[in-house]
This record gives sequence, C-alpha cells and structure tokens, in this order.
Amino acid sequence: MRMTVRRPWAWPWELRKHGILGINKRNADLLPYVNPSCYRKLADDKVETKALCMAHNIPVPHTYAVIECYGRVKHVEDIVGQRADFVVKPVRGASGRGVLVVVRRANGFFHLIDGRSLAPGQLRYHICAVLSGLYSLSGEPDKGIIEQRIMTHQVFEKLAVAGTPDIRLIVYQGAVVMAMLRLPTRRSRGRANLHQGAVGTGIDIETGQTFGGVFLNRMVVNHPDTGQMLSGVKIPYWNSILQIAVKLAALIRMGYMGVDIVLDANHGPIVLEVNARPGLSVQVANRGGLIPRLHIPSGRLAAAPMAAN
Amino acid sequence: MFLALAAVGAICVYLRLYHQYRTPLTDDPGKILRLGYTVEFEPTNPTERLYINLPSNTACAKVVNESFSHRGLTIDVLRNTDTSDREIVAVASGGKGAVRFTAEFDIILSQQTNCSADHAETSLTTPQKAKYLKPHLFFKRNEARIMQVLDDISRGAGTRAQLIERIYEHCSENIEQMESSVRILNEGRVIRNHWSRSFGCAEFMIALCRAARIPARLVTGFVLENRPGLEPSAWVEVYRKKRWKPYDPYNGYSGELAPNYLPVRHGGGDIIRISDNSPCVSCFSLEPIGRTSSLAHSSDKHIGNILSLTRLPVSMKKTLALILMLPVGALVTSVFRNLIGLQTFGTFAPTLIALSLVSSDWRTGLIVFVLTLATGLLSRVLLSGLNMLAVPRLGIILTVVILCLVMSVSVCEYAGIAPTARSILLPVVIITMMIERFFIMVEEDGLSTALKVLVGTGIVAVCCFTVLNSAPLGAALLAFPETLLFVMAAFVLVGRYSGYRLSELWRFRDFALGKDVSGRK
Repeated sequence: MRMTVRRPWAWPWELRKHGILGINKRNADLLPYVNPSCYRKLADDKVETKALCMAHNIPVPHTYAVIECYGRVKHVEDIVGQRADFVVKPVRGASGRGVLVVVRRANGFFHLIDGRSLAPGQLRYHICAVLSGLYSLSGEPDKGIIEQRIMTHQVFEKLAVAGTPDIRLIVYQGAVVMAMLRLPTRRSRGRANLHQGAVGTGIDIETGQTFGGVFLNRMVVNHPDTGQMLSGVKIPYWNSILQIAVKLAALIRMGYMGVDIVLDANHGPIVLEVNARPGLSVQVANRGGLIPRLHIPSGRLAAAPMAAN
Repeated sequence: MFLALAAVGAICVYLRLYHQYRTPLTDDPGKILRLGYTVEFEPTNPTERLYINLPSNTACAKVVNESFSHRGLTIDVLRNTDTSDREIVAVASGGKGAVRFTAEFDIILSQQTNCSADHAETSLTTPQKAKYLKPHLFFKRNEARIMQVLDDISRGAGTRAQLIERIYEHCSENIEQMESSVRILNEGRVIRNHWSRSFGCAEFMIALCRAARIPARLVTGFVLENRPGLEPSAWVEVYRKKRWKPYDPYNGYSGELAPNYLPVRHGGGDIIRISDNSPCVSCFSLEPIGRTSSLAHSSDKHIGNILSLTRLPVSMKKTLALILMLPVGALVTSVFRNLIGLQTFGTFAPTLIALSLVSSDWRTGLIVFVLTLATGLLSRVLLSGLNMLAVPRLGIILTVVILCLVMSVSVCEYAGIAPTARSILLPVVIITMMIERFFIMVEEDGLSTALKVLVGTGIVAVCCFTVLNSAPLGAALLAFPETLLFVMAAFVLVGRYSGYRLSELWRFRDFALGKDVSGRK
C-alpha cells in the first residue's frame, strides 16, 4: 500500500527539514573528506576485501576460484565441479551488475535464480564479458570470482522472493548510523539492489526490528510481490551484525561506507561486500535523513578522526 | 577559485577590449588586413560563368598579396579597360555538384589622409559619357518623383558644383540611414519613406545626378571597419572637371573618402554574380593579421598575436570555433547531470553528438543518427547470440555504424538531400559505445531504465545543440578565447554545488511536509 502524495515533488526546505542527504552533498562534502581514494580501491575490490575479512576472522562466502585470465575460462566446469549452486560476480562490479546466481544444474544447463538457464558456453561467455570489464566500475578489464551461494535464513522465507535478502548497514566514522533490509522482488530478478527493483525496509539500530519500507523510491509498507508487512521482523544475530560492520569499517579505514551482510541459514552473518558509495534510498526506507545522524551541520562536513580498531 | 577564474577572465577580456578600442583597425599604420571571399554555387549548365570582382589598389590601401582556391573551377583574370577593375571569370571544369571559390587578399592600410591620388584626371569618351548619363531602371520607375525632388533642390543652385553638393546633402540628410547594406533595393520606397541603405542612397543620388545631366556611377566595395561581419557597401562617383569625385551619402563623405574605403567594382552592382542570375552563396570576411614575416620587420611580430585567433584563415577559424564551444557543451551536460540529475550515456556523448549536428545539416544528421543507432542496436542483438569477446564485438558494431553512415551519405547524394559527406558527419566511436552501453543497460536494469537514459541523452544533446548552434557564441569565443575562463568558473560553481538535484525533489517526494513518514509501529 503506497502512501498518498499531495504533490509529486518535495521542496528543498522540506528535504532539509528531514535531513535528507543528496547525491551532490554526499559526493562533494562527504566522500572526499572521509573516504581516501587509496582505501576506496580496497573497498571496490571484492577479492582484497575478502582477504582482509578472512585475515581478521570475519565470515565471508567461500571462494571457489578467482578467474583472472581468459585461459582459465574454459576450465570453469572443472572449477565448479559437482557443485549444484554457486555465484559468479565481477571483482570490481557495481550495483549488482554482472552477478549470476546459479541455483541448480540439470541436463548440463546452469539454472539461474531469475529463471533463466545457461549452457556451459553461455556461462563461459558471461565470464569473458566480466573479464573484459563490461560490468566493472571503471570499464577497465576485471577479474571474475566464483563463490559460495548463501542459503536464505528461514526468518526471511516469507519475505524473500526469488533471491537472497541482505542487510545494508551505513557506517559513519566507526558507528552504524542507518541500516536497511533489502529484499529481492520479481522485478529485480532476484537481486537485492533497490534501483533494480528490490524492496528495502528500515531497521531500528537499537532493536534490530524492521520498520518502514521503500520500493522504487516510494515509501511502502508491504512487499510488492507477497503483500507481507515489511515491518516488525526481528533480525537474528543483530548485535553480531553490528559488530562485524563496525570492525570491517575500521579495517577498511573509510569514514563512510555501506557494508552488505547476508544471513546464511547455517553460518549466520556473512559479509558479502562493502560499498564505498552506498545509495541514498536507505533514507526513504528509514523514513528519515542521514544528515542528522552524520552530525553534518548546514555547512561543510568536517572529517572526524577515524574510529580505533 | 570561482572568483579567481572569473576575475582573471574579466581582466583578460577587459584588456583585449581596451586594446581593440584604443587601436582601431584603420588607425594602425601598416596594419595588414585579410579580406576573404567565399563563394559556393552549383552550376546548372556547362556555359554558366561566375564573375568575381577583385579589390583595387587605392592611395591608402594596397593589396600586397592575394591567393585563390578554386577546385573544380577554371578561372581567368580580366581587366576592364574603362574602369581598370579586375575581374575573375570562372567556369566549372566538369563534374556535377557544388563548387567553391575562396580568395584571400592581404591589404596594407596607410595612415595617409589624402587619398586624392585616386581621382586622377581622366577623359570620358562619348559612349562612356552616354553610359554614365543613361537613366537607369531606378530613374525610369520613379521619374516623376525624382524630377520633382530635383526641381526642389536645384532652386538657387547657381553652379554645377553647388547642385552636386545639394544633391549629396539631400540624399545624406533626408534618407534614413540603416545599419546593414544588404542589397535589397525597393526603389519605390526610397523616396516615399526616405528609407534606404547604402545601395539605396547611392542609387538615389545617381538617379538625381543623371537627371541633372551630370555623369555619375555606382562604386561597390568595402569599408574596412573593425566590427563583426563584413558586407559590401556602395557609394557614388560623380564626374566633374575631368575627375571622378567620390560621394558616400550613406556615411557622410563628400569629395573625399576615408582611407579605409576599398573600391572593387565601378559602374556596376554586385561584386559576385552568375551569368544567368542563378543563385549563389557568398560571404566576406575581414580580420587583422598583424604583419606577415615576408612583409614586415621581425620587430613588429608581437607575441600577443598568438592570443588573437581572429588572424587565422577562415577555414581554420571555423574548426577552432567548434572546438572552443566544446567546453560550453560540457558545461550544459554538467548542469543537466549535476543540477537537474538527468542521466546520460557517457559524459561527453551528448556534447559530441550535438557538435556533429552543428557542423552538419542537422535534419539529415538527426535522421541518419536515429537510423544508425537502430541498425547498430539490431546488429548488437544479433551478435549477442555469437558469444563473442568484447573488443571484436565492438569492432563489428563500429563497422556496422560506419557502413550505415557511408551508405547514408550515398543515399543522400542520390536523393539530392545532402551533397557532401560533411553534412552527416557523426561521432562513430561515441555511437558505437552508446549502443554497447544501451544493450548492457537493457540486460541489467531493464528496457525502461535504458530508454530513460537514452531520452536523457537526447534532451541534453538537443540543449547542447541549441547552445552550440549559436553563431554569435562561436564568434565571441574565437574573438575572446579567454572567456572560457568564465566557463571554467561556472564549472567550479557547478562542481561545488552541494544542494539537491532537481530530480531528487521528485525522488524524495514522499518527504513532503504534512505527510506521515514515521512508518514505525
């Protein structure tokens, strides 16, 4: 059920009153001051992020292989072996582009979470496209990573449609300031990216309970596919999730970042990736702006000292 | 930063303007000016001839160098025995299609104020006298009115000299002067409305002189002035005491002209014309070029001339004007992306597409662009089944785009829509990348998102086109390239803008006041 709208726009002073952080302010007043470019490279590289996490006992999906050259593409079937499910993603991808989630194999075909089926040749072609940089942030040649597929935690079974939900935590200067549960929809074809049509719901940082909701930038209270209420879900392992996010932010040494964590049915919280430029729809999901939580006055942001590890 | 750039830009422009106004074109002795002709026409039959009159030397202005470019034309330079005017007769040397003639004349103006050497004693033969007394078309159409005017002004004029002065004064005072001298002479209105331009004034004075049995002839040429745009001007020469005396009722010169008058044709009209009055496109240009090394002392070469782009040849200036406008296009794109929040394919793609349409025929270019994009997308869809690597796939799309463009040129030529390849020149690499990005976006984010970005690219390209298509903007940037500092200052402003984008007012519309946004249970 969508909220009624009096007029199809908000005035800037209305957004300021709610403390909404805009893209220009994020890019001009926040990121250059708190996210040094040298650490952004680390955050953008999934392989390096995973290595860092593993070195500090932060759980991450198990990596089956990192494909760095075209020569290894022909061995992809040997790499995945008899595994029925796995995920292929670009190492320096963005916005969920180029991610393939294989849920089962039958008759020599790889069946994806969005219902499509790929022949082995098509899978190899997709990995080649990943290597050529088709899905990378800067368009430069990239690497492909094949990793473990996360099994959806039972708490999300009623809410999750055709994909794995994840939890996006916004960490600013060592503290989690906002969080959101992202739920795939049929429109997003199993992906948990809001701009691709996933639905998000805010999470109360104190209690770990969901409230609010956003779908295609509009405030919603129900899941668009299942009709389930988005609010009132208590996130399991909430304290552990918060601790992981804070620890990872301190390791990566970025002042403002998004940490994506999935809840595995068997292993609990697992870090999926970090994002150096997290989107702003989390504000709609949480029914409030980020600016008051970032302690951003009306003027320019000041870079606060990094939180100690 | 913004203030620094704006201040430096303002100082540069001020200094240039100050320098220009302090040293007018004609007050700079020894200054070399470059007069340019550009003529384009399409011969309809092999006997068609193009006539082009060339500037003559005067006591104050000397043509020191001249060059012609006449691909597809055979030219011959003739001299008129009566007037000593030089004239080029050009004939198409075969082949179809438009031909182009360009000429450049380097002219040195002297500071000499007495240019009377031009008015040497000369005798008129009887046929010549008859020619310059012959009532022309203008007189025939307005005979009664002209005779009436002549009666009025000749009362009390004792001598012929006085009569000429009165005619001149009448023409000079009673006909409203107009800025432009485009030759659209509506004879009837010259007297009725006292409206004319320089040709009208001159024709009127000639009619009055000839009605008074004083030989007079029209002189067509240029007034070499430091102002944008150059058009031919006309003035009058009246024969008295075996000399041709010049009069310019339009600009108020009697018996003596300013040193910057450059006659081109005597006793005629148009400087450029075609034998059977077929249409042709002609334009003229004038720019100071300083002193050329072959003509001047090395001490006169000033390094400051490097900044003056107006000294460059016309063809080079057109290219530079387009390049100079690129940052303005990028600024438009930046405004749309950062202030409005419109998404586009690539940062500079809209600007480059707009620029290609500016430098060509935009209607044909737009149709070819849409066709090329559609063909490229179709080929990309077909290629997706081949599972090719990225670079060879892009190479095939590039080839398809180029083939599409080349065939479009051929089809347009066949249909007579656009005769030159330049008229549908498009940025092929940009289009290729746009096709690839569009296809990926359709696959990853859906057709509606991809179409939104495509429409956004189109909107920004149209706005860039509107700005870049402004001829005054190109001329201004060429005259004052330092104004790009203002563009840089604007970039700083846009780059430091941290307010909401226009699209965010829509995106976050649910935060409009008065709504319940708590959402908590």
